[in-house]
Amino acid sequence: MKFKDLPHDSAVSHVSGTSEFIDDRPKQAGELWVEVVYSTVAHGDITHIDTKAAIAIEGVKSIYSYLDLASNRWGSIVKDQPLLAEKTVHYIGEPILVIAAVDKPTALAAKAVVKIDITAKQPVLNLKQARAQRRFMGETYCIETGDSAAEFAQAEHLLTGQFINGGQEQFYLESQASIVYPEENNCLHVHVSAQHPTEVQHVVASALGLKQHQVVATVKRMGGGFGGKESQSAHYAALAALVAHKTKKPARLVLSKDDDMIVTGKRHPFCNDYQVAFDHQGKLQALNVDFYTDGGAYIDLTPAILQRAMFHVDNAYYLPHARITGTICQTHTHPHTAFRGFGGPQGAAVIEHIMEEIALHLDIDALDVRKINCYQGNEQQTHYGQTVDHNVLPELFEQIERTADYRARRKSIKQFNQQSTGLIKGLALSAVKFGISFTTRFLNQGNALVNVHVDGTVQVSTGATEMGQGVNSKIRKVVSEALGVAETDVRLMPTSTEKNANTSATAASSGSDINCAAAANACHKITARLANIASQLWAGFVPSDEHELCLLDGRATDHIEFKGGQVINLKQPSQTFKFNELVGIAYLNRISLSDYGHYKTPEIYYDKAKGKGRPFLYFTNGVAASEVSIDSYTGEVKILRTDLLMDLGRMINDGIDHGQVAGGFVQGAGWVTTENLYYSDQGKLLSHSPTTYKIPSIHDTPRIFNIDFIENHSNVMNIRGSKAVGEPPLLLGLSVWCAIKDALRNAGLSDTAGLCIPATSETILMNLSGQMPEQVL
Amino acid sequence: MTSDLNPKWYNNSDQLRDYLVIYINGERHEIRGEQAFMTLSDYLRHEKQLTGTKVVCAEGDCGACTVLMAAVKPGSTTTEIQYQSINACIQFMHGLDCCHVITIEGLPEQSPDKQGNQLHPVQQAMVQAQATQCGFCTPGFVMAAAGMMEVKNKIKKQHARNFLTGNLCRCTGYQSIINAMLDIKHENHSSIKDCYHNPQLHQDLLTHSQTAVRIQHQNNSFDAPLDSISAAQALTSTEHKIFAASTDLGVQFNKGHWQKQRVVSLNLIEELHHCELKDDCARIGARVTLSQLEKALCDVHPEWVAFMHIFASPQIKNNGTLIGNIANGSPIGDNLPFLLAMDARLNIQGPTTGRTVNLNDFYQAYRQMDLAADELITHVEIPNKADDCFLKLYKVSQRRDLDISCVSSALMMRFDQHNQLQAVAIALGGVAATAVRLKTAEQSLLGQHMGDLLQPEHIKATAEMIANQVTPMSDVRGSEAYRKLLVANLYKKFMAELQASHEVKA
Repeated sequence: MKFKDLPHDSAVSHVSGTSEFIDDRPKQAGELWVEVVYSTVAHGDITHIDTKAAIAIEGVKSIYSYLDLASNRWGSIVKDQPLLAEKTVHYIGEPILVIAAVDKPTALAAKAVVKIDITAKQPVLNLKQARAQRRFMGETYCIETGDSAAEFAQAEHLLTGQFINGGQEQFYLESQASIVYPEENNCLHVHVSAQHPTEVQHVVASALGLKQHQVVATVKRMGGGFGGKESQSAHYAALAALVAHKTKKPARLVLSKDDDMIVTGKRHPFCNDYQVAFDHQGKLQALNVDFYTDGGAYIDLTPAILQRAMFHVDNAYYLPHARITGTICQTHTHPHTAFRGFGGPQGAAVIEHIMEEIALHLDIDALDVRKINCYQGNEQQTHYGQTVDHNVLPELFEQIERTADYRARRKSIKQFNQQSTGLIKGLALSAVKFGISFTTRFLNQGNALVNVHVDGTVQVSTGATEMGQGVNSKIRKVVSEALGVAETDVRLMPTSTEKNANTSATAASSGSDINCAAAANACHKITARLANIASQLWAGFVPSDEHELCLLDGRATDHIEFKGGQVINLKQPSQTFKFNELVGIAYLNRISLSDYGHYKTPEIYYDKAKGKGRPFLYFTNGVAASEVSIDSYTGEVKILRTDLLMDLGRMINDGIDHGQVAGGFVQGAGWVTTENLYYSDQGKLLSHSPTTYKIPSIHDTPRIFNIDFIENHSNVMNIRGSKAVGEPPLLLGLSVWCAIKDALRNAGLSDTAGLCIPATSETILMNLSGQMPEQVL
Repeated sequence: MTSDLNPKWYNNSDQLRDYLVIYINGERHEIRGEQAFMTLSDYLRHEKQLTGTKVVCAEGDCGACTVLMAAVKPGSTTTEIQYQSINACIQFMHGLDCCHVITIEGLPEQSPDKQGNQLHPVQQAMVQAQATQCGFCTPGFVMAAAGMMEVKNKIKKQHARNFLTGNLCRCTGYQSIINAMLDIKHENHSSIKDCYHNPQLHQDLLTHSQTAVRIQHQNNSFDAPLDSISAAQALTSTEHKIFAASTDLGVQFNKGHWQKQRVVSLNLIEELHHCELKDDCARIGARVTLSQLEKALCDVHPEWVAFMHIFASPQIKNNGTLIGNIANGSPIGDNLPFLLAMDARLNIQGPTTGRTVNLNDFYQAYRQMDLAADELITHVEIPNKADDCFLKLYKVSQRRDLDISCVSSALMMRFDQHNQLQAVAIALGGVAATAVRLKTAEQSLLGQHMGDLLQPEHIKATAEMIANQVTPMSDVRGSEAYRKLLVANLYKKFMAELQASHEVKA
């Protein structure tokens, strides 16, 4: 495969092993290793802590508890979570103490002899128990359109059920990691693997009683984030900062993979009740869904995630009448948090499940049910009142039906299944319409600092953090186009709160939208000044010691173009400057070559109380068709073929977007198949390493894997007419799950309504044998 | 223990080394004391600041720490050494005595490209195919792929998948990585083997492989004698562990379950590196890696070799040994059902004498076996199977590849000329405290006619009977009910395949 655009800006250092991650930083003199002592009990009261034996070990510097913090509460939305547990513990893995020692073996030796007595109390460990006990956090949200109750009363067909999805571990390869360097006057510099340096800065400052200007948080890159480093990195960075602040020594905290998986939150499990009315063609008349999600022990980002699930329950389908509610359950498990899709996949899963159930109920093809319900014609308004502008969904369905050869393959699969004994095949198509923007309006802002140097090369800093998704490469391209310089002359600098303050997390797929736009704004200020002096120079002005070149108001510069390393007078093409030549002149005449750009996403609002608004700037869309085979003796699944078709507007970097689509899809496929979080009956995660938690391997990707894009130039609302890509393709992993459901039906199962996410080999085989145990989440 | 009565093994040795000799990226290192007991990844990252090698899981399951290793084996006559991928995170320095390790920093530089980057063809292809995103897994993939290039000069999709099974990536969905592998430019590429070819290095390692080693540091000790009896004599306490390749003990160490290293290495015992194909059996030494077996046995035991393709990652197979798998005694022990079905025999060496036991008599209870604290398994003898026996090996796990089985099984049937069942084996892993053979079930089937055995009711009844004879437990890999169902279904699957093969023959 050949790509038109340049590779990732870190590609060469990545393949050479020279890209620096947190734990690659050389150890400094006096540096301390930080270990965290966690609760081993899901719920209980701490009665006694004995650290005598631990502190006596040579090389152990100190052990800290919540008493050592200036403020012990943090939280991205509500400050409800202690950094270190006080009297009571609320989940296994909740931090209680922090150990600082000269090296890791010493810290681990100390950790092994710390004694914490906890009187266990009855924990609530799953959604079922929490729902039964009504252990809810915050309010129940509601979005309503039309009058679904009236529709149900006169429904032609009615289905009710419960739909359950499990959680998912982010499984970033680089665990949570930070190194905090103490600086003079009680200041701290935090190097951290985090998607949200501003929140790290704020949480660290608050925890230690510092002012925000005393703390700088820097993120060079992450070895994967996927949402898992949106909020929870701040928690562990604060614990490292505590050590650095108290000891005045550099402090390094790098979680082991096992600890990371045990202590940090996952994608939210959901257990939802639904009721759906539809006509004989499968067209939706009304939908009621009551979402219940397991928030874990603390709020974290759960309200926003639940809200996104509620927004995405329509996915690609028009809901004439709907009543959607959402309630957060509180359990004694790690606080669940962001994971690529942020509730969107859980919302869309419900309706994709319903599409399959309707098809089964009416004995018609599920694709026809989807097509008849797809947003189209006069039916373009979502249940929260936003109109789907420039809707490409019908086009996507039409094209993939053709390119994936859906109808013919449906027939040949039927034939195959009639003859086969050990293998059953299934085929399904699912869609995505993903809303782009943070649903909290104030987060939709970003800023960028662009420094042009006198040789014409450029350094750019924004609030975007690079976690592999290629945001830096996209900003590089946008800046190179805005200044008309080569991409190789633009360098993206580490993200740091001293350069870009008050930034939002790199999340909600919006990192490149917001930060590219902010960087472009900064560039335009610089080019406006450069064009201004160029026009004067072309008009004959000769700068001298006596006459300095100054910016003049009211000069027309529309005819001046920055392109190919040149500044060109389009009216007089013979008049050009080399970019670096003009930059040199500007510098000598004291014209600023740096600027700062701010961007806020326009025209978005949402009234939570009314459940109405226009929360999204636009939608990213896609469809996928997946074919699977199931070994009917073992329940093992193979993805035989997947066709993906996306609408990404005008892509900024084709290779990067291609990679986002493939990677997102496979992550989604993992969520719905092999990725199974397995907890003990005491609430301890037992699948806490890759030995027991199975993300897809290279053998698990589709045998035939086609990725394609439609042409779409209509997304003028967004930078360069592009569309965000980070999260949407993950939802297309649902096509694999739907294909498994189809295969089970093809195997003769008349009822597949109980199939949950993930559909592991075990779940599938138990379904096939009619031995499905009750699902507990 | 009788260690006081036995002569200490090292008193018999004329010379002893108190250091290891390891080359890293062509540079010679003599490793002494504390450093000998470090994992390779710690040594590289912390002692040498070679931080390109990443650690994620610290248990050999993700491949981020992949490096290449070439071992000079004692008594080897060839100067050709093969560079193969291994996991640096679970490999101790003392396990690398007389080896040459290549890290990502040591990949031979090529002539510069247009941008002035001197990248290996694998690196170049990965850059062009946009096969890196976050970059954390990337060095591991590059090294595993570089290892592939040492043995393959035209890479197909299936090679790419097989050689990269041991590397996890969470970003790319692997598609771009596979594409990169297909795009590797092989022209004008000189292999690592050629770039680092150095007769002096080879001779240095070979010479050292003929000298026994004893290193002590605080609570840790490392003994590498030159013969099996000495190895048995070195087992002077129950804390002493035999080291073949440490693919399991490395994990135990990293997870804090095994701290005091009392190591007896088999690395310098020449005969244990040999795999002998005899007229009636294959005799496999304790240091023979699974990768070597895959090559050596592909004609004799094709079913088993095919099974090994999904058994573990290349990194584990390039280092792990069959006898390590046997001595570990895991209830699952993916290879064990096959060996039980074949009535494999173990050669066991004690401090004075040796003996041979049938593997079917070896396992006694959960991780307990017929092996004294001062004994070690030196060889396993696998009888050649009869030409007309029908053998199938199955492994069921959450994920097909690179996953410990939920249930593994070896089923074998052999019929006489009248289609009467003459021999049968039903061997299972993951269903009891040890891997087991279901002798009672086997007995009940012997002598029956194939036609009867293939009757659907018979198959169903037998499958149920077999499932009722196992006592699995529920754990993270699968519930009791699922495992029982699998046991029954694998018998059904076997019978379906037997029928199909019989129909083909007829």
